[in-house]
Amino acid sequence: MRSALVLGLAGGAVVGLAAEGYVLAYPDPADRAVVAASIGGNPGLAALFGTPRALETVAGFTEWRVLGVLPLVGAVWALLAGTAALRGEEDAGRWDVLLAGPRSRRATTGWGLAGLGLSLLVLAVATTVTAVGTGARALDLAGTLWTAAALLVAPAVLLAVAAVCSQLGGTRGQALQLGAAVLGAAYLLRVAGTAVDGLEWLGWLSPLGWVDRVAPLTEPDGLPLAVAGVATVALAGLGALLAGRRDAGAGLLAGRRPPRSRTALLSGSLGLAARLARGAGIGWLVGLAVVGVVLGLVAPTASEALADSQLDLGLPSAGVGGGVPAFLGAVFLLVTLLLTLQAAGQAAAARDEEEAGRLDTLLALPVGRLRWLGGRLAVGAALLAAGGVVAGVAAWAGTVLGDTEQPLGELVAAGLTPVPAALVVLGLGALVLGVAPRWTSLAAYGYVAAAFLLEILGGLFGLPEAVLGLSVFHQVPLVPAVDPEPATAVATAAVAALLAGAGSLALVRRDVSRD
Amino acid sequence: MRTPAAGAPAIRTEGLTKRYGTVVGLDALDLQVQRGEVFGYLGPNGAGKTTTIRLLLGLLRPTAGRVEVLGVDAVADPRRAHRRLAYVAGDVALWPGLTGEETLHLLGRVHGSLDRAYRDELVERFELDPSRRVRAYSKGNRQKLALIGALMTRADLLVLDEPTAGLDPLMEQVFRACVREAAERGQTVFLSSHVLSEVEALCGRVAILRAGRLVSSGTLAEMRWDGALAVEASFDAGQAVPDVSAVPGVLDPVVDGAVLRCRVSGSVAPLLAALAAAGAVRVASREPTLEELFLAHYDQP
Repeated sequence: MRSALVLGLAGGAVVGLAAEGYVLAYPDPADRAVVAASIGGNPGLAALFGTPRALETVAGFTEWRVLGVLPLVGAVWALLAGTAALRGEEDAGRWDVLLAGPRSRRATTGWGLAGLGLSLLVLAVATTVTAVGTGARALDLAGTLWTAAALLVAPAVLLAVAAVCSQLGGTRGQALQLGAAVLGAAYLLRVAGTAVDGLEWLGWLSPLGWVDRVAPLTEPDGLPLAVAGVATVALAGLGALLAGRRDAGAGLLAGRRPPRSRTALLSGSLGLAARLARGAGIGWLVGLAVVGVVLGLVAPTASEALADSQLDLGLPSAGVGGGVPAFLGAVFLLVTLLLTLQAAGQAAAARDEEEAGRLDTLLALPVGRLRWLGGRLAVGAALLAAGGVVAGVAAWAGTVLGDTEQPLGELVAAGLTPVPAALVVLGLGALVLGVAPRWTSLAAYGYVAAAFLLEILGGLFGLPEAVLGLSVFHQVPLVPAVDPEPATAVATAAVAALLAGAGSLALVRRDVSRD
Repeated sequence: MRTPAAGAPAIRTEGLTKRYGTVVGLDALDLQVQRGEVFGYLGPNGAGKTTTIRLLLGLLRPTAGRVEVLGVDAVADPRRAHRRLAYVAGDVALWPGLTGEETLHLLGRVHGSLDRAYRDELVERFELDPSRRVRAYSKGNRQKLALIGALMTRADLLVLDEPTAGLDPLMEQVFRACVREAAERGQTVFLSSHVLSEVEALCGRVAILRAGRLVSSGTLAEMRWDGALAVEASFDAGQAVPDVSAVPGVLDPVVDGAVLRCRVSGSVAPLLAALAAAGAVRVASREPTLEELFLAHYDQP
């Protein structure tokens, strides 16, 4: 409920800020025409961020800017919140208490869905109010309301998807993986539908395609909203129906074959940390590989436009030359985001181990606190480095597929460039874990969100360098558009090490606590 | 670094205190548990049993005082202490994605000492299917898994925090047998519990904790000696039951028809004299149960 409020406030504010930022950055119609021509004629950018319409207007640019990124954030929130509400409680055993009362599993799922509906309502109200408030000067009211409605499509549908996945998967983790696969497919369908002539109909199969078709600020259309509404209700109903057909603590898909014991890694706290990170880590690397290939594939078409103009997309790409490297340098921001989110997730997982009492079990063995935290941080850092390499190699593979092969070394360097920034997030997480453990997850994810917004919107408002520098995203050079900066990387990694060291010192001095 | 003296007690605390802000979790606890004994640690929920255990495991930092485990400072060097100790929590927390077999492998490898044959024997005796994932186990099965994980190390000191919550009566019997065997081998067992019958059956010495303070400790025999004796006297129908409330040492006399029940602390001679004078036909007395001893400490405000 609280996360819905925060997301709604932030998402609504982005609507107004994007509009105001556009007015500030391109006051003059001639500039706006250049923006419109370069982005508008560019299938690559359209594929990544959605169909651009009337970019020479504040409304058109805002629509494209806002609907390119925020629905993805909303969708991820919906998967996390939905599986947590419908499976997290159950995995923790709290469901049994409810089911022991005079309530069926279907009714309990129904109540869970009702709670999620309430979260969605909070999200809707917060988004609408903030969007109207911040966008009042630059946008008309009707368009703003349409935009708020469009922003709700992805969270609503994905919450319902999460409800179905929660019945299919055997655990919350599996439900989340299924949901992530659905979201990935939805994104790829939307990309294909936007990028390939004759396949536009593919977009109708994807909730993200519906968002694209609402066109709230340019040519508002209610049909996709209606489709989304019907899909949400139908999927939620399906979820409740399936809930009556499975056992508590089990899933419809999983759990038939007996698990195989694999003890190879399980000989110490480092090995345990690696084993615990393995499943989700592999899924994340696959996702990163898909993103990398798509970025590499669309780079040639997208970069032509950038080469022609010193265009400020709100991505920090201006003034770094042109061509495929410039484009990749700019959009590797997305890779940075995925790496930092993973870092925040690793910090949150460490706190989760403490909160669930498993850390007690481990520390009652001859394992020191530093060894435990060190193992977790080492595994996290290794995963982040692997993510950087995978993203770079995948982007290279994408450019090969797209017939614009770039040097492999440069793209791997580009993939590794954001790793120190992600390490800072990991270090920050370790610091909060040591000092104020209850706030670990919120601080790590909250910092990533705040830093990302600062980076993509701060530039439009001409904020001073000292403020922009607070964002780790700002410390990531736009490789391959510019040369790697080993000094920056070392300095950033040193900051990360300092944060982690301070966190470790605090950890050994405090009580280990479940609350 | 000095090596722990072979004769050092299994657990020794001196003025061990834990405060959470103004709330006192444990107040100046002085406790000694000797090698080879099965020590019962009693108290109602919230008395500070788990706080004591988390302090001696080095999970909590003491506000004041010292705690030594097998002669090793448990706060300064928990890793060294833990090589010779095994712990089972009341609320067992294991990794839900690991199978039982993987869990036992992990616990054995990380602990560093493991008796494989004994592990297999324990798995059989506790009737555990180790091929399932932890998340699929019932609470009782998780408890069994943790118990096997602790017992199989044959550690010098077993720290068990309400280890039988969730075990069925058959498994409770297996658990008791395992604790007795451990004691016979010379292992020390620190058993925190509020199952009094379990403590009565297993423990030589007992400490009773109340609101963070030790209110009583000693062998069960000593505590019984100090406790009030329960006396029941019967009279013939029609015979008057005497009023004994003024007799020295008599507590809580209750008359039920021709039967008088009361408790006596100190000498029974005055009461017996009064009963004989009144012509009692039967007099029975028995030592207090641990439950009565325990409750006696909580009756007073």
